Amino acid sequence: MKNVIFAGVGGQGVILASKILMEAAMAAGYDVKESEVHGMAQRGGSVDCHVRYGKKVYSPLIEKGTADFVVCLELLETMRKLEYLKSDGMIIVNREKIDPAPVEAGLEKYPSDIEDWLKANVGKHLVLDTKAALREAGSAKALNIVMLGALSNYLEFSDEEWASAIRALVKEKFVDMNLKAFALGKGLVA
Amino acid sequence: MNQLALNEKGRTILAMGNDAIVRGGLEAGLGYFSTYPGTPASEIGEGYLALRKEFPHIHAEFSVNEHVAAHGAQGASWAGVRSMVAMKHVGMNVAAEVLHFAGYTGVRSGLVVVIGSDPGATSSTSEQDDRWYSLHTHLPILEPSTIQEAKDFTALAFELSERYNLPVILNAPSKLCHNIGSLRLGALPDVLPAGGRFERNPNRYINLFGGSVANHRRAMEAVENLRKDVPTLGLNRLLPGSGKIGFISSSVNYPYLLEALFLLGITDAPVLKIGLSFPLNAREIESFAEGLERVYVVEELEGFIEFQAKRLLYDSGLRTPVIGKAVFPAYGELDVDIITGRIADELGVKLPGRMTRANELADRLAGDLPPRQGAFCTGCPHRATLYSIVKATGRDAVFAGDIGCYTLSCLPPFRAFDWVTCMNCGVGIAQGLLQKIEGEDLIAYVGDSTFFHSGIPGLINAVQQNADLVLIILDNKWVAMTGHQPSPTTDTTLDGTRMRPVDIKGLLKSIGVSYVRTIKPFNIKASMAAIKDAIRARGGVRVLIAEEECALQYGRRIAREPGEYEVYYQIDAERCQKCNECYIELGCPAIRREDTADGWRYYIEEASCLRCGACHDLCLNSAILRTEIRRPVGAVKS
Repeated sequence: MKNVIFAGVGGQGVILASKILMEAAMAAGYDVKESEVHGMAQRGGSVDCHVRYGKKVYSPLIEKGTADFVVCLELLETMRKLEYLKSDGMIIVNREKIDPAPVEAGLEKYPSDIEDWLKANVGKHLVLDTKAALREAGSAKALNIVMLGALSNYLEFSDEEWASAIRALVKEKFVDMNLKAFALGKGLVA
Repeated sequence: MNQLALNEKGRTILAMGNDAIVRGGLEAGLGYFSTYPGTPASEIGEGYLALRKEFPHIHAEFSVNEHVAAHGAQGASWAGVRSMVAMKHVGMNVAAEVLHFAGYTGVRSGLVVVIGSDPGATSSTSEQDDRWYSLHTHLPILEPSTIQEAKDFTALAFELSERYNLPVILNAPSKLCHNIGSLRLGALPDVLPAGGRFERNPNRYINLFGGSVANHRRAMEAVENLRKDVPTLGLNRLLPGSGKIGFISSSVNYPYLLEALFLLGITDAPVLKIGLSFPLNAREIESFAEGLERVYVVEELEGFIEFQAKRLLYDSGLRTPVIGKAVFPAYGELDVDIITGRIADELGVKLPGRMTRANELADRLAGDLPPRQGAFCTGCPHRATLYSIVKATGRDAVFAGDIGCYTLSCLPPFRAFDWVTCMNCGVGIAQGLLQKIEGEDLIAYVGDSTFFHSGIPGLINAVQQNADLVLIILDNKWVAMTGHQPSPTTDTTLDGTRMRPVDIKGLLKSIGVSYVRTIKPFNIKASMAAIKDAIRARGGVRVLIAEEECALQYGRRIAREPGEYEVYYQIDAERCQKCNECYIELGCPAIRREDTADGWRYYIEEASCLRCGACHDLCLNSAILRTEIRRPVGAVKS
């Protein structure tokens, strides 16, 4: 069984990324379950999706300390999900900071040392600079797919399986751009 | 092709819980659907509206409130058509009056009431446990535990409703409504249900005097008939075990419990899975509890199953301890971690050591992180309206809050919001408060949809009692918070369908509000002046209608039909005095801060900016420049 958490800020496309993974897993014959929180997602709040797949999945929720991967589209949001990471699990995070409203309003500070903290405390972590890939893909909105591409290096699905999952869930006119973004994301991991 | 319309029995698709409920209705031959949108149940209505082409015989509507929606579904059932009404848990408070009577009158064709509950209140002002209603409405409750059961139980609910002559409730928490999983489709009916016809039934439909007493008796007898049959219905399932500690569970907590027992290595515990949580069958509970040392009930929110089980066992003389809310919290969401932890404590089993040092450090750190709650979207007219209110009042007023996107005005940077409870708590509470306080300005908020939902009676009362308040109707033309369902003020849907919008001004005039002004939120200076004028006018109810379409819907409309000119806003770094009005006080997410070679600057992120122009209008230094560019020929649709 694989446990993957996607996290980020409302509007970043966290839910779509998790749907594409689910689609790929279901097409490969796995039992798939997912859990997410709606509501404030479109309004810039924290968002996360738990995706589990395997031969048989009971609960759609991932327990603390059992996530194989935490894929995070924003730096600070990683810190809220770390307690879910398995001891040998991996963090894949986009090196981008989005100030939450209390930081913008000067009431609180954005922690400055997140990357150092990850280095010191998490064995497998990958902090990705996605800016160039997004520029090349031609849309900042493809961040979710770039991150999914990076994750794909560690999962069992073939490029063709990923591509058909993307085709199944993305509007036709954006398919090529997203396939490109996926390949660029995949290439970010050396 | 909409996957929910596939007539391929046995095909497996990925579906959200709400989709599964929609499909269950389709498989049962639903003919009428009504709802008032509310998270987590909103997508059910969207699902049926999206299927209008494939299932033209289904009447589907977003009603003005849950009371009206429930009455509508009752009427369709009386016409002999299977009907469904959906709402969020607090909607049940509004529909409760209708549904108490619907139990008395019974149904003609199946009537299913879907309740989306919200343990943890992630999208609500309350997490009330609606199941208690059934102790007095007498409506049976199904609690599906998986996506598959969400569909299967929905279809079955119609049969139960007809067989026992009662509306049947399907209770689905947000962790089922919004979760996604595989769904095996059943067959769609070969024959589409035809139109219905009304048949008089005065004994049942005229609830008067002795007739209502007879109906009361009938409803209670119907529950007893169902109660007797429970063991034969296959809705509750026993996982046998030789252990002396048993577990009862329902809904999404059942798979959580199975996972928790697996993690703890408890393999011999008998588990009774409850699919029908009202009514429970005494014999079923007794035979489960008999011979056990203890029974734990794992259910979310309050101890509804626990309460019934204890009562049934008491009557049967069995004294097996039943433990529920003494161990598992009655508030907030349960999850596998909580259930595992509580069972481990109770049974003295060791927790599996999964937590690493990093997990524990992170857990401690998490409490100190700056919270990221929702904020008004970029280009949201409410942000501009709130900015003007804060500037016009200096926050020196009582702010009567209400339910909608504008509830976010309780958060920074606005924090001009003093209460929120149920729909229309703003004017409702304010007009009573004002009878007993003096010398304070009071500003009440209400959105267009909330106002029509149940705000008109409160406002009439405020007018008649001469309450001294300013009501700001934030009319953004949509039920925005729940995903843009049409509101009574929607005039054209995104696909161009013309609606029949209610004339708010005419309505206000007819109920006696003589002071009505419209403001355009993005014209900040004019809005501030209008708010100050309204406050100064004193005496009676003054209404300001802040009229501007929801930014997300406006954005979608513009993407389809771009205008002839494109507008850009930019911050001129030379003129910007870094006074923070736009960045902090307005708090627009499209305004960003970045380091430069010689310090830092504010700039407008072009991809995020929705060109609302509020920052341009409020900038005290004229540092935000507006540029209008004619689009290249061919970019504009003819």
